[in-house]
Parts: sequence; C-alpha cells; structure tokens
Amino acid sequence: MFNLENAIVEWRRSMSGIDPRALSELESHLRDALEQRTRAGETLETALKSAVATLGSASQLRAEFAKNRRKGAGPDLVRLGCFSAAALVAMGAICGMWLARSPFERGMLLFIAGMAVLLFLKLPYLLTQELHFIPFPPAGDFGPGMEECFAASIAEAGKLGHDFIGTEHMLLGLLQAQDGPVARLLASHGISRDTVRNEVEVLVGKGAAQSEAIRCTPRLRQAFALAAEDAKGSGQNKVRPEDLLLGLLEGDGVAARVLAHLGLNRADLRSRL
Amino acid sequence: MVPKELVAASTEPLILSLLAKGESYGYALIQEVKRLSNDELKWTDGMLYPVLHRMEKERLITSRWGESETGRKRKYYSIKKEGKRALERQQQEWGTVSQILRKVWGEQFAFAGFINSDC
Repeated sequence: MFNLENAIVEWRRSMSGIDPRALSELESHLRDALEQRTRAGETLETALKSAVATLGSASQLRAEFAKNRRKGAGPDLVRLGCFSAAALVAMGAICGMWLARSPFERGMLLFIAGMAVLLFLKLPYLLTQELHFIPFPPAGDFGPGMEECFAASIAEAGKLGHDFIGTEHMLLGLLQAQDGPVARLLASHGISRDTVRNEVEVLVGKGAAQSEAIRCTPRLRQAFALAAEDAKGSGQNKVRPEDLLLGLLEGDGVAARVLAHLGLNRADLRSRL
Repeated sequence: MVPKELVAASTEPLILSLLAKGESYGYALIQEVKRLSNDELKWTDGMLYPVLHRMEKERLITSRWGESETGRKRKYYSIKKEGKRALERQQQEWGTVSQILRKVWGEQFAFAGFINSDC
C-alpha cells in the first residue's frame, strides 16, 4: 500500500542539504500540487511522482539556494563596516611605510596589515556561518510543563544509553505527563510512550553511553525554534508541549520518522491541535 | 517557448507584479504565471522559491507562515514599499526595452514594405 506520509518523509530525506524551513515550504507546495492533481483524477502515487519531478532535483535546488547565501554574506551594515575597516587598515599600512625605518619593520607592518585586511574581508562570511547556528530559545519562552518534559527527555536518553538529546528523546519527554495534551492526543491514535520507545529502539538502537546526555542535536534546536516561532505566530509567547510536538514533526528528524512509522498523519495532527 | 535566460530575467518583475495585486503563495504564483502565459513561460516549480527568498532578503517582499483552506501550513508572501518602488523602476526599464525593439522592428517592416513596393 502506498503511504503518502512515508513517501513525503522519504522525499524530504532525498533533499538533504536544503534548509529545513525552505524544505517545509517546498513540502507545502508539493501538497498543493497533489491536491490539484488528485482532483484532476490522478492517483496519489503518480501525482506525487510528477509533482516531485516538476519541482526540480535536490542538486538543482541546492545550487540555487546556495547562490542566495553567497550573495547575502552578512547583513548589509556588517558588510559595509568590515569593508571600511579593511580599507582603513590598508591606508594605515601605506602611511606606516613612510615611518618604518628598516626593511624588517616594513615587512612586519605589511604582514600584520595584510592579515588584518584578510580577516576583515572574511568576517562577514564568518558571521553568516555563525548566524546559521540555531540558538536555543531562552528558558523564559517555555510554558508550564516544559521543564518536566525536558528533564524527562534527558532521563529517556540515559535509559537508551545515548549521550545526546535528539527529537526522539524529546518526544518521549513530552509523553511523560500521562494526562497531558500530547499524551492524550497520541493515545487517541493508539500510540503510547512504550510504543514510541520500542520504535525508537528499532530505528536508532541502544547505545552504551556512560555519562548523562548534555548536548542537543541541531534538529532538536531547530524544532524548538520552529515551535517558538509557531507559538508567536498564534499570538502566545510561551512554548507549550503541544507546540513543540508540531516542531518535532516539521523536520525529518527521528521523532517525525517514528510517528510516520506508527501511521500518524502530520496534517491530521496539526488540525487536531 | 520562451528561452530560459528571458524567463530568468522576467521572474522578479512577474513576482512583484502578481504580489502587487495582493498576498499570495508559491504554488498559486506558479499557477497564475502558467495560466497567463498559456504555458509558454516554463518555470521549474522549485526554482521560484530561491528567488522568493532572495527577494525577501533584499526586503522587496515579506513573508508569514499561515494556513491553507484545509488547515495545512503555508507560507504567504506580500509586497513591501521597497518592492513597489522596484516594480515601478522595472516597469520603466522593460517599457524602454520593448519600445526600442518595436521601433527597430517597425523600421525593418517599413524597409521590407519599401522594397516590396519598389518591385
């Protein structure tokens, strides 16, 4: 049987290297195309195939998106500032050449000025690299119940012998409050914490980490950022566990795969929350 | 069929013009262009998005995540003041180009007519 959600997760994985937010937009496009094509009488499977084909290949899209990144190296002001700093250093070095008395001093001056100019010219690119790092939302953004979920996810990672906290551990953490909205919602789909834990063990396997997990995977940070954005979009400033559940489902992280395997439909879940 | 260089050059003014009429999203923009051009203007669907993102970075347009009629997540774009200004400028530029071409072609046709009448 053709499973659309699995096929889309599969497609997302084939598009690796594209920013997850852009990928979500492309996915939304695919679903629009699917709706129209199936309305015109195509089967889901052929509709998806042709929609994916007209969307373009991963390498094509990656190349196009990459062009944007190169063009916009840092915010304009930062770039301007760095270029002026580089120009100033270069001018200073030229003036210094008159004052320098020995060839050694001149050489040193040229060397130091050259390094400084290079650094300033490179700085905007370094800064954009830094901007690509997704920070964790501040703890003040977390709504009630989130602290407990986070603590539970660390415990879950420990039980599985993992030394990192990924989307899968967070999902288990969200399920720790038995009568919480997330647990109730998943229970209505016949999914309990134990089924999720079993699925994670099958997909990821048990590790042999001795120490407690201290670092979060980039995907989990991404999920937090998405959840925070979502929460702001819907007019509240605290991230609730159910917001985070949607954030976890957005990417093609382990949590999203686990729930897709258990037959959960993302769009369906979104409409229920 | 319009060649790919021309398609690429006309993408930005097209997006700006469509968004000047009101908020829209990627899929709808593509469908609209297909409809208006009777499929003569072929966009590779996915290629629109890098362009949209670049234009957003250049502050010509802005975006927000909203919901579709069926409750799915969808990214909507709308034009900004800067974008409207860019659109006006581009309208002038394209107007100039097409005027020049028409003039040149007009002369050609006149010339052809002159030869014909001389025969």
